[in-house]
Formats: sequence, C-alpha cells, structure tokens
Amino acid sequence: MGEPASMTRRRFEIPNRSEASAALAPELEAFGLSHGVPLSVLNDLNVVLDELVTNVISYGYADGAEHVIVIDVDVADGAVVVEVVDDGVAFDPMAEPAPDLRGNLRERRIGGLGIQYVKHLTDSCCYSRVDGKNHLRVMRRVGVQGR
Amino acid sequence: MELAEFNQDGVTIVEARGRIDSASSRDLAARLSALLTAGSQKLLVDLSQALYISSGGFRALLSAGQQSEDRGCQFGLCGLSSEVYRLFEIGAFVDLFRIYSSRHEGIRQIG
Repeated sequence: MGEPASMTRRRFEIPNRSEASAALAPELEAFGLSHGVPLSVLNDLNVVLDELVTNVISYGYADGAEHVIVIDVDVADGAVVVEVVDDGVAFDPMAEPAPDLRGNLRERRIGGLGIQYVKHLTDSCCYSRVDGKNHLRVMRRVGVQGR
Repeated sequence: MELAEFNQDGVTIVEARGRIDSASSRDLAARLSALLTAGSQKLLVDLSQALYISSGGFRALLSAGQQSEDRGCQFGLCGLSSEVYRLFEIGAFVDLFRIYSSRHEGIRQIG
C-alpha cells in the first residue's frame, strides 16, 4: 500500500529540555496551518505533544545527559499523524491506569492526567519499543471527528 | 504564554494569553501564588485569550484554587472558549472552579 501522494512530512528534533519542547508548538502550528489543518486541531495536537514530550523529559532519562527526542508529523488526506521517538527507558504510557478524576479541589491529583488528554484528543494511539527506543504514534482525523 | 494584570472593582484579574503548557504554566503558578501570598482576596483568571491549557496548566490552576481556599480568597476563572472548556471537561475540572462567562460577569460576581 503506497502513501497518498499528498502526504507531507516534517521532522522536528529537540533536546530533552522543557523550553525546547515549548518552542515546538509554534512550529507545529505554522506547519499544520500551511497544509490546511484547522487551528483547533493543531491546538489539540499541541496539547498532546506537550504531554508526551513532557513525560519523556520528566521520566525517560536517569543519566542527566542531553538526549534528542524526534517528532515526525505527517499531514495526509483527512488526518495528522504525530510520532514521538525517544531513547529513554522503556515506557508505555497507554498501559497506565486511567487517572482518578474524582474528588474536590483539595483531593484532586494531576498524575496520569496527561495521558487522559492524549487519548481524548486523538483518534488512535499506538506504542511500540523498537531497537531500544520508545515510539508513540498518535493519529488525529481532520474534519470528521465532530467534536 | 503572556500574562497581563488588571485591577477593577477590587478584583485582581490575571489574563493568561496564548499557550498554557508545561513550561509556561510555571510562570502562571508563580504569578498567582505571589498575588495570593501578597494578600489578594478576589482573584479572577481570564482565559479568553488562551489557545489551550495542558495538564501542567491545570496543575497551576488547582494549586492556586487550593491556596485561595486556605487564604479565604475568592478565586474564579472566566472567558473560556468552547475549545478550552472542553479541556476542562476532559480533566473533570468544570466542577472544581467557579467559572464565569466573561470578565464582566466574573467581576460582578466576585467583586
């Protein structure tokens, strides 16, 4: 099965520092807008990317060294696919239990919430561990999600 | 994200514009915490110019809400777009905050 002719791809490589992750958002937005992706979808994807990259930066590395996180973005007909690849410790965020969303202001905890956003703001998520790297691939349909 | 601060009818309004993400939410948390520590009693966060809020931003809002309870400060949010409101729904945050439709309404209720 060949890839659609209209598919366009952009690769971003960032160091494992939070300010580098923040700098990614306007770039993803500009790339998506230039390919006709609605801003509302790009905002959702920027939330997803912030959660995924923040997870990797916070929990992926124990050595204190600089690592490169690779983010591939594909804009195809009707969907945007984002894949985050890191060489941190093996971790499948999709296998984590759903966060506890009960409780009042004082009882609420934020742990695990990032993945809640990733799942709700995408149409599919897929984790794999390949050659010592975590691959987290998400797909978000454009225009037909109806939410 | 950019922060702007206003005072009207005894209410301190903090407007958070742009992307409230894991990095910038630290600035939001610090600003709100500083206002509460300084004794602010009526605090309104205007989100009408926010593009989105990630979980780090919600952590900042939760922390400010808790601190407000401790200090007897009236704390509210206003101006949520439908997209931002949906992020509140996904995290089940809607019932945890006093949410007003507009800055005007928030000032009227809190002030």
